Amino acid sequence: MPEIVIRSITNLFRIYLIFRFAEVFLGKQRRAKWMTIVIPITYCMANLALFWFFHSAWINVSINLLGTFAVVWLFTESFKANLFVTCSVTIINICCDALVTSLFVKYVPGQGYNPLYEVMTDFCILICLLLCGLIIRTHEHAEQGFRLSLLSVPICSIVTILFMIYFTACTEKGFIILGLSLLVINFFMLYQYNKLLQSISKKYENEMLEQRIQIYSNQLNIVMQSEERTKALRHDIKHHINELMILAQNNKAAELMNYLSKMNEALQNPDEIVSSGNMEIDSVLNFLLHQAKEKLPNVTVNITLPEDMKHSFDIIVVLGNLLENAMEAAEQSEKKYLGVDIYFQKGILFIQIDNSYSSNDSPSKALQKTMPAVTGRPFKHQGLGLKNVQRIVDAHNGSMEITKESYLYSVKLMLYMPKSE
Amino acid sequence: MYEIGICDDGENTCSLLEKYLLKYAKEKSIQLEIKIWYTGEGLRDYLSNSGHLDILFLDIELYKLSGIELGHFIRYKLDNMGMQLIYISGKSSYAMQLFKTQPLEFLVKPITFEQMTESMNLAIKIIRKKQERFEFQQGKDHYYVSQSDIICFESQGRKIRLVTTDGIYEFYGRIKDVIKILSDDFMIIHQSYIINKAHVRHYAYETVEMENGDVLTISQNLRKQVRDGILRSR
Repeated sequence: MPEIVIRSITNLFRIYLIFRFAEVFLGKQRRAKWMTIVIPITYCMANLALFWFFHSAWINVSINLLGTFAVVWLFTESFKANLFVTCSVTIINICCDALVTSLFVKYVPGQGYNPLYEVMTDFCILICLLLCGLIIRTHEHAEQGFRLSLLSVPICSIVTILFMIYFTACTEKGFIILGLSLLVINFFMLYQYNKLLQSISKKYENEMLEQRIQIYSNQLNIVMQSEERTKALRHDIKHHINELMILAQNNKAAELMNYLSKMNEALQNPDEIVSSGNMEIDSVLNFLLHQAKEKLPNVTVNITLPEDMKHSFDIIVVLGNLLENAMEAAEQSEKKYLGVDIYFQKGILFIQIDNSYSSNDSPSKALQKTMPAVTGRPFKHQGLGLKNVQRIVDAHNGSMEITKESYLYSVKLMLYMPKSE
Repeated sequence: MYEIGICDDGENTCSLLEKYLLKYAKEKSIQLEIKIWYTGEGLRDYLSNSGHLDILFLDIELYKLSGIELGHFIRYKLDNMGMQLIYISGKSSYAMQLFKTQPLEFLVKPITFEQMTESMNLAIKIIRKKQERFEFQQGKDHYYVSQSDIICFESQGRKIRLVTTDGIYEFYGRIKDVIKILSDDFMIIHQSYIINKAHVRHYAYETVEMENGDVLTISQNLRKQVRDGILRSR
């Protein structure tokens, strides 16, 4: 009985360590809370029960691989990322197991041993976890960090060590050397993996900066053009007043109106589509809507925002991603319509982006076009389109709704904005 | 009849808006009484001397006393939350201070008749809602209050505390029965609170700040529902 209790505790602790490993690799878990409880408990119970009934090493290894995969699934939707993390964590587990058993017990594959040694194995894994935490410093872009060359290291390691163990092809001393060597090789591989993630982050940062520079320079051009127009009009203002006075004296109302509307036109800058006063938001919207107006004949824009809006970076990412998706879908449709409505009211920012979609597209295909895709477009490089939008919406405790009418897709979202003091 | 105010230092803008309003009144067969001020000070004096307006078209960039200051004066000094404020401006950029005065709309000059019609329709719709009443009993007496004057209901045991812009009343009842007879301007945010969305000053995920300064908690299990309700009612 005490054996079962200790075995259950060590098993649960090991699953907890796998959970922590996944956290080191992938950050916060993303599934519902109940799954965080149900999956580890099911894994633990299945592990104990199958070990008890079959005493088969292969079943043991398989259930551990499956269980680890299920735990890692709580953290990521990407199969490739999950496979990589599962294999890396499994090889660390097996190596620790091999080291402890080689050092202290005479191990027969599939047979149990004093559960106290399992405590030592858990302790060993804990040290590896801490080491792993020191090596892997980032989990951003983990989903894009998959490389077959990196994955081959833990997979080959697993195959080698299992072969050695179950065909008893090695002495105990050999196992210690093999276990330690494989741990070192895998930790080096993880070091390279971390370097890879850091370089991906750097790449995205650089692309984002380039994009921002492009957007700001566009806005600077717009501001300068507007300034030029005002200057030109101011320069000729005496001449214009004179002209207007003559027209007024001669009671030429129609011509007067015509002259005034021309003056008004001269003041308008066609590139300045949005002038909410919020420099960052104006920059992005002018940049993207300018492109939209070139491609789409029907663009309506309605924006009422405070100049000193907080969290403009988040809003930019949201607008950038949504507009790029909408513009792409609208461009391929017959009606070529894009509607942008942004409004701030009572502490809430409302954003609604409508776009027409091609009637040739099935609803799911059209929705896919509106939904995220990994393409070479600037805002997509910041992450994964709508996923990034959803992340920001969640961070602001907001809500997002996607609806489809006969020819129109609408993405409607609201974000709570903190009170500006 | 609706009392409409126009306050703009541009005489032509004022007369254009007046022309539009007269046309609107004729089209909709409603009666309007239009008052015009060219300075913020004039409007402030009128309102200070108990002058009433249902809808106010207010220029943001007035010469001395600005539209922002007047908006604050109306909302916070006069405590007038019922007047529908429509800001007019030559620019399309607005300070955060303006949003705190809970404007109905922003119109950018040159204003078109269609834009003004849309704003007027919305303002009149809100004003008409004021005529919907809420009835309750205190002892043997029946009371009626305009639904638009109700800020919130708070359940306190078997009693319900009714907070209005004019004062506080108490009656026996249950929150879930009260919500059934109210218009869709009202929303349950907690098993003890019903709020009037029109009297919210600031929404946050966990709380709602009402115009009278009360900060009410949104219960944890209703936060998602409240949030989605706000998004859908937009």
